[in-house]
Amino acid sequence: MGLDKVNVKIVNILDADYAQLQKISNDGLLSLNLAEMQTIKKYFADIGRNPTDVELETLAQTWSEHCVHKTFKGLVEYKEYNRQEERIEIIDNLLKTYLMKATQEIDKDWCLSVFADNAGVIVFDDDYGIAFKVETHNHPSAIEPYGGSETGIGGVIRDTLGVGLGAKPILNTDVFCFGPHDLPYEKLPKGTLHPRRVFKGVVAGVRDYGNRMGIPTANGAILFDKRYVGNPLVYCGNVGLIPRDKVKKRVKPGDLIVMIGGRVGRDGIHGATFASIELAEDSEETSSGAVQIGNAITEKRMVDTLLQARDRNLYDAITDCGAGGLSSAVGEMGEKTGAKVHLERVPLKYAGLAPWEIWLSEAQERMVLSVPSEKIDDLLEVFENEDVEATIIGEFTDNKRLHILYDGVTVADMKMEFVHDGLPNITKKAVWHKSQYKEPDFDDPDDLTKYLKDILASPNVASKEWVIRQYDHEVQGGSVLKPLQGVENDGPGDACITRPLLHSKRGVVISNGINPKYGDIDTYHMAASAIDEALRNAVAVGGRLEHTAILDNFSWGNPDKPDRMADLVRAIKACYDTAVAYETPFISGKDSLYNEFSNSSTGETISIPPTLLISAISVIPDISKAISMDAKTPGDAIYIIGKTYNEMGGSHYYHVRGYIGNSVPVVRPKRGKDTMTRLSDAISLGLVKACHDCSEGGIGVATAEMAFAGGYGMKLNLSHVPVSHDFTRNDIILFSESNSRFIVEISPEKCGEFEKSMQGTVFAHIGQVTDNKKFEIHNGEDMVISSNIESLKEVWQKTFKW
Amino acid sequence: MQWKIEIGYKPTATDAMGQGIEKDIEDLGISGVEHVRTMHIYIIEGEIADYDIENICENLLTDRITQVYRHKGSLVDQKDSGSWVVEVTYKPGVTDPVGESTVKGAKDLGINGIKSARTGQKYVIKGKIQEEDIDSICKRLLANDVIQNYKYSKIA
Amino acid sequence: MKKVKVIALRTAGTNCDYETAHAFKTAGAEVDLVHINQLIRGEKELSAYYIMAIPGGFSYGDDIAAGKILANELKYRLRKPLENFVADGKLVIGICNGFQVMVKAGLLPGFEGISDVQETTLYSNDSGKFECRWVYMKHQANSNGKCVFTREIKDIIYLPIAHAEGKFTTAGEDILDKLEANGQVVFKYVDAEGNKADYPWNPNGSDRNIAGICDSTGRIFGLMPHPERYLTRYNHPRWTREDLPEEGDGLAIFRNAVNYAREKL
Repeated sequence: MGLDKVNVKIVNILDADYAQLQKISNDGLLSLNLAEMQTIKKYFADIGRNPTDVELETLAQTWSEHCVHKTFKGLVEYKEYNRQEERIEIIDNLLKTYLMKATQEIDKDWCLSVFADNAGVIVFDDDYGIAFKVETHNHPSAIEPYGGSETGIGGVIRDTLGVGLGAKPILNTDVFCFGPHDLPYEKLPKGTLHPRRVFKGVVAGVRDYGNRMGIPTANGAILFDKRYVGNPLVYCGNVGLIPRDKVKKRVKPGDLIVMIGGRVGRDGIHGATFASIELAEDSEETSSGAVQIGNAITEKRMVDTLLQARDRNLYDAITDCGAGGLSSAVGEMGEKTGAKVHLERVPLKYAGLAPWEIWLSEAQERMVLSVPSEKIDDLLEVFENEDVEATIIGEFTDNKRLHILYDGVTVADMKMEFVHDGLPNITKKAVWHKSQYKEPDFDDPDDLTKYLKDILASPNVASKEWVIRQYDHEVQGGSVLKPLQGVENDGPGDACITRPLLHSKRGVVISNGINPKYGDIDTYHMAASAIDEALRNAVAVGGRLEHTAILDNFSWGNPDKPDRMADLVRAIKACYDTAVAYETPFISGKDSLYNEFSNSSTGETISIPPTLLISAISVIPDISKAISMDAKTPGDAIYIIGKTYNEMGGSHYYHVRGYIGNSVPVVRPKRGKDTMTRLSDAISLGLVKACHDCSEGGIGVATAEMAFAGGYGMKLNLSHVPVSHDFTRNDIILFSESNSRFIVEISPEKCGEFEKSMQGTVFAHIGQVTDNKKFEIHNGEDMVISSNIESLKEVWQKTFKW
Repeated sequence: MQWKIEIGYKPTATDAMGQGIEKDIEDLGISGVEHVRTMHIYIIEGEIADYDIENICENLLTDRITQVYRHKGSLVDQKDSGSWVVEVTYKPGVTDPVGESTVKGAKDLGINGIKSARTGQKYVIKGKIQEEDIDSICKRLLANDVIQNYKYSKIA
Repeated sequence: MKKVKVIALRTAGTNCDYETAHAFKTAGAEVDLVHINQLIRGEKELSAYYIMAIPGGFSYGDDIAAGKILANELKYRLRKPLENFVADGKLVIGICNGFQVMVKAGLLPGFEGISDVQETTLYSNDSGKFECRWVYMKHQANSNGKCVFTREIKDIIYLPIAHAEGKFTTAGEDILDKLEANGQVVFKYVDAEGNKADYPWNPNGSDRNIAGICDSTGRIFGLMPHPERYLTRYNHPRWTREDLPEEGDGLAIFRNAVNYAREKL
C-alpha cells in the first residue's frame, strides 16, 4: 500500500494477547480499555488486516469519554444503602433516562434544538433563536492556565458558531473552581501550579480571548476548595443569536468538505483522550502536546466571514473542530453519509506531521463546512476577501465509510457504523452510602456581626470586582444589567441581561447556580439546589420560569469508583425531578469526568468535589421591567419571600466555623415554583424596586449586599422571618441557606398591592431601608448584628483587592 | 540571517507590566526586589537588509513616544550590573500570534523577506536576590515550562 | 433631506462595528461596514463617504501595540485617499482602538494635517491591566465649537471605557501645552462632580486626564470611552435606580457629526 512512504504505521493487534493489547493502548496514550481493544481486534480480524495508526487513533478518539460520554450513555448498576436498607436499580443510559426525558416531558414549543447539536437553541422572537452552550476545559487549564482557558472560551464560541448553520456569539459566561488562593507554597503538591497562578492565568486567558473576540463576558462565579488544587475547573459558556431559518443543517452526499480558519500543527494531540485520564505529577511532561495557545483574531476573522457565508446560504452544514480535530468533525458530519478526505491538502503550520497527527490535531480556530459544489467558488471568495484560509479537503460520499487518503494512498478505511456504534457497552457500578458528619455543638452567639463579616470575606462570597472589570461586559452595546450594580457600580448582581438586537426591547437573562459544598452531604440536594439557585437568580432580575431553559455541566471524579458514580447518579436524578417540577427544560449539557489527582508524595488520590454547574437562560419581552439588587430608597420596606428552615448543612456559616453538618438545604419545588411565578408577576407589574437572591450566607449576606450596594443602611427584625418550627436560633435564621428565598425592597405605597400579588406564598415584612448607613438586625429587642455598610463592604471587597 | 530586536520603555514612560511583576514577586513571598524592567523581544529570520530591520524597528515595533529599541546588542548594559536578566521565549511549534502579526506588519512596510518572527519577553530584575529565588520567580511566575523556555543570568 | 453616508471601517479584530453603525443610523446616517481590504483593492472608495468611523476592537489582536498594524495599513496602503478625505473637510472619528489607530497613523493630533511623525500615543494603563468601567468626562470649554462632534453636548458626560492601553501621553509637555492652547483637548476625565481626579476616575493615568482630542480643524476626533455604548438609558449602569432621560449621553456625538455633514458637506 506504500504506507511507509506516507509515514503511516500498521499496528499489529491481530497477534496481540490481552497484555499486549493493553500495552498498545497505554503506550500510545489511547485511553482504550481492554474490552474496547478486543472489539477493535475483532473488527480488523473480520476484515482480515491490521489497523493503521490513523484508524486506531480515530477509534481511540471517537470512543473517548470526552467525545462519546460512555458513562452517561452506558449501563449503571446503582445500589443505595439508606438506614441499613438496600435498594438496587439498573439504569440504561443516564442521559436519556433523566436529562433528555425531562425535556421531552416538559415539552416546550419554544425549544428549537435540544441535545442534538453543538448547543441548545430556544426561541428569542419571531425571527431569531438563542443558542447556549457551556463547556469545561479543565485538564488543559491545570497545565497551562492561560492557554487552557483561552482555548476553552475559543472552543465554546465555536460551539454556538457551529450550531445549526451558525449563531452569532453575543455573550460569554465563566465559572471557575480553584484551590485556595492563599495556599502555602509548602503545601503545594509536586507537579501542580499554585492556585493563585492558575487563577490569574485563567482570568487572563478568558480576558484576552473574550475581549478580543468582542463578546461581552457578563456572568460567572468563582469558587474555592482545596480539592481543586490539582484539578481546577474552568467552565466557559457562550450565547449566540441565530435566525430561526438557520437552526437546522443537513450534509448532502457529494458536498465538498471545506476546512476554514487556522492551520494545523501538533497542538492538542491527544487532547480528548487526555481529558479522560487522571492527572499525575508527571502530567505536565507527558501531556504538553495537549496544550494549545489560542489566536482570538483568527477566530474573529472566521466569525465575521462565516456569518456572511451563512446569510448567503453558501453551505449545507457546519461543525466546529474541537476535541479530536478533523477526526471528530468530519466523522460526525459524515456519520450518515460517508466521507473521503485527502489529508495532504490540509494546510499545516510546519512540515513533518504524520497523517494521524493531521487528522487528530486540535489546532484551534477551525471549522468544517459541507458545501454544494456549485457554491464553492462563492464560498471561497468570501473567506479569501478577509484573509481567512479555506481549503477543500475532501467530499461527503454515500458509501457510509470513512475513507482517508494521503497522497493517494489509503491510510484509513472503516465503516462509519463501526466508528460510531462499535463501542462495547459498559456497565458501571454505583454504590451510595449516606454521608454522616459531626454535628456542630456550639451555642447560638449573642453577636453575629463577626460571623457575617467572616462570611462576606470568605473567598466564595467576597467581591470578584478585580476579575469582572478585566472583562469587557459592555461590548456589542446591549448590556442592560451588568455584573456589578448599585450606587457605586460595585454590588454583586444576581444575573446579567443583554439586548442582542439594539432596535428591540427583548432581552436575554443569563444566570448560574453551583454549590459543591452541598454535594459533600448529598449530591441529590446539591443538584436540586443548583437548579433552584440558577432559576432564583434569573427570576430575581425579571426572568420568568415560563421561558427559561437550563444547561447541565457535570465535573466529577473518577466514575469507575462506585461511590463517585453513585454521587453522579443521584445528582442526575435530582436534575430530572427538579427540572420537571419547575418545567424548565434542559437544552444542552456536558460532562468532564476523571478529575482526580494522584499525589505521589503522599500516595493520595484526591478527587474534586462533585461539581454541577447549572446555567439558566431566560428570554424577557421588555428589558425596561428588569430590576437590580441594590437598595434604592430609605423608608422602603424589606420583605423576605420564602420560608427559612433549619438547613445549615454545607452552609457558609458552618464552613467559616469549621463544620460541614448534615442538614443540607432541600428544594420544595411545588412551593418554589409558585413563589417564583408570583414574584415574577410582581416584578413585571413594577411593584418591586430591588430583589436579591438569598443563597450563600443566607438572609445575612443577601441583605448586607443589598444595603452596601445601594449605599443605604437597613434595620431588620428576625422575629418576623417565617421559619419552620423546629428551631429558634438567630444564627440559623440569619445564615440558613434554604432554597427558593428572595429579599425584596418595596416602596411603602406599593406594599399593599405587593402583598396581594404574593398571596398564597410565604413572605413577611422584616424591616426597612434607612438613610443612616447603619446595618442593624434585631430579634425582638435583642441586637444580633450591629455594623455599618462601609465596614461590611470593606471586608467583602478586601479579599480580592489585588 | 537572524535578528534579535529588543524593545524597552524610556525612563520617562511607565512600565506598568514591570510594576505588576514587582507586586507578583512579593506575593510569592520573595522579598528584596527593588525594580523590574520589561522588554519585548522579536527574533526575526530571513533575508532582510540592515536598513529594512531599521525600518521595522522604527515604524512597526517601537512606539517612539514611550519606547526605545536595539537590534544590535542589548538594552541591558553596564548600569544594570548586579541585576538578573531573564529571557522567556515560546517553545518551537507553540502558536505565536504576535510573531505572525509582525510578518504581516513588515509586509505593509514593503518588506517581504521575513521567513519567521518569534516573540519573547525579557525582564531585568534589580535587587538582592539569590539564584534560587530567581529560578523560583521564573518557574512560578514568568514562564511555563509546558510552552516556554526560559534562561536567566546575572549581569556582571 | 440629504443622505449622510458613513463608512465604518472594519478589519480583523474590529469588534464595535455593529453598535457604532447602529449609533450613526440612530443619528440619521446611512452606514456601510467596509473591510479595509475592500478599500485597498479599490472595490470601495473612501471618497464616496462624508464620515469615516474607526470603531473599537482589537485590530490585528493589538499585537505589537494597540492599533499599530491598522495604523500602518492606513499610513502605507491608503495614504492618498485618506489625505484627500481629510483635505475635503470630511469627518473622522476613532473610538477606543480607533483612537489608538489615529494617533499611531499620525491623523491626530493633526496640528497641520496628517503627520509623518507620531507625536502622541496611547499605551498601557497605569493599573497594568484591561479595565471596563464607566467614567465621567468634562467637555473642555475652550474647545467648545472647535470639535464638530461635540458642538452640542452636556458639560459632563458619562460613558464606559474598556481598554488596556488608554494612557494618553505625548513626546513632551510642549505638545500638551499646544493641544490645550489650540483647544484640541475635547474631553478630560473627572469625578462625578466634575473635578480633576486620579484613578479610578482617570482610569488609565492619562497625562492631564486627557480622554479625547481633535485635530486643529475640529473635524478629526478620537476618544477612549465608547459613546456608542450609551445610546439609551438602559445602557446606564444605574438606570434601575436613577431618573435618567431616554437618550444616552453618547448619541449626541454621532448626531452632531451627521448634522454637520448634512449642513456643510
